[in-house]
Amino acid sequence: MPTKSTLPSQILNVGTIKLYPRKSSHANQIHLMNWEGKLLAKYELDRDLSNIALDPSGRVVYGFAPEEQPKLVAYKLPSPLLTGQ
Amino acid sequence: MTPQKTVCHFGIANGKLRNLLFVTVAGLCFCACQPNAKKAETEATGDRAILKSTELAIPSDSLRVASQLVVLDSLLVFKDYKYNPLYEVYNLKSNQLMSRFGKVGDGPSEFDPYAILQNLPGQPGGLGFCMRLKFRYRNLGMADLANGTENYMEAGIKLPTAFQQCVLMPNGNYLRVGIFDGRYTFADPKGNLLPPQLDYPFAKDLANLSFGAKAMLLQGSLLVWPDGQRTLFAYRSFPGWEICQVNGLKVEKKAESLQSIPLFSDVTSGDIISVELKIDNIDGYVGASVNQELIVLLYLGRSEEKYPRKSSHANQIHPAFANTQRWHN
Repeated sequence: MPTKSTLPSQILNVGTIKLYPRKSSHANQIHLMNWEGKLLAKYELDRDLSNIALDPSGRVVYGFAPEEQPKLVAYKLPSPLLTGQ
Repeated sequence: MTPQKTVCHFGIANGKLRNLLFVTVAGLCFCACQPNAKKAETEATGDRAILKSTELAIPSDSLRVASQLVVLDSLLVFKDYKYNPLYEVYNLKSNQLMSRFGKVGDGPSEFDPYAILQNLPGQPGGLGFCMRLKFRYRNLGMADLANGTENYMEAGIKLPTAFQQCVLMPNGNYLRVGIFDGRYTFADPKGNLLPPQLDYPFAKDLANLSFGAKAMLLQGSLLVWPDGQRTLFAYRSFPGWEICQVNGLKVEKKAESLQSIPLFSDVTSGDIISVELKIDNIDGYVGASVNQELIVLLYLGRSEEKYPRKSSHANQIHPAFANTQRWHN
């Protein structure tokens, strides 16, 4: 019976169904839209995040990086985005 | 290993090191003053830029699993899974921990461990707490957050039925996202539910699924435009979202992106429903945040090569989710 810590690297048996669990739900892409639903930009991040928060100014995205030593990080958004270019 | 050797080594290299250091610092200063210095924060690779992170200087040794980050002015508020207290407040300017609050428990004024933290639309500096287990909603102001004391709040309003998300709107009513009884439902300030509006997506296609499977598939994040006139719901299990216009107590869909219907109707094995929406099937927006102009979605794309599904059931499900990738390419 695998322990929680070994699950990502082992096969998890659920009844007769064998699954290869994904390592995590942490993501490293952000999509930016306006309130009309228009996609403005897509960016890749240099770290995997599990949560984000946009600064009210719209210039910075804060995130939680669930690494071995968890970190709170910030990403400065490119300024042309703020003018919709 | 002797002190003399160490001193001698530095003594010989000291002049060269000083010159090298001067040149390096001068070079760095020169580069930093150039107009294109911002390239240090973004790096173009192919057709998509990579954003570079900066670690916050706040003391984060005690961090475990932070979630539900919210920025209020210069305060960063988030939920950390330490339990008691549940929430932490940091000042982003002074890099100091301001307060911890939120006692988890069964008491009327205590927090639900599954509470959702959110900005309050129409109330700058206000936070809402959506208690999914207790069916309750309560709010808090910035002054309460910054005072550094434990906050025991009133129990908050109780809503009569289960909900996935709930937000206190500027008009004093509560906008609730359900799962099975209509997509959006307002509750009045006393908690009385008004008639539901809009059906949940794929309602007809998912009609034969178990409640649990529908709940898993349709979970996501509800966010409200700061002035309360528009809402965003971003789906966690597939790359879809919907934007609605709120006029008084009326919710109207303005835009949506529900790229494909997961083909669960092709799957006839009952038990598969309980496993098909596990983490390796999630292909949607695992996080979202908004301000007056922008919506930022944290997207989890599936890496099919790295994490292949090996069950025979997965072969049936896999194409359904794969179809949703086209919108992102």
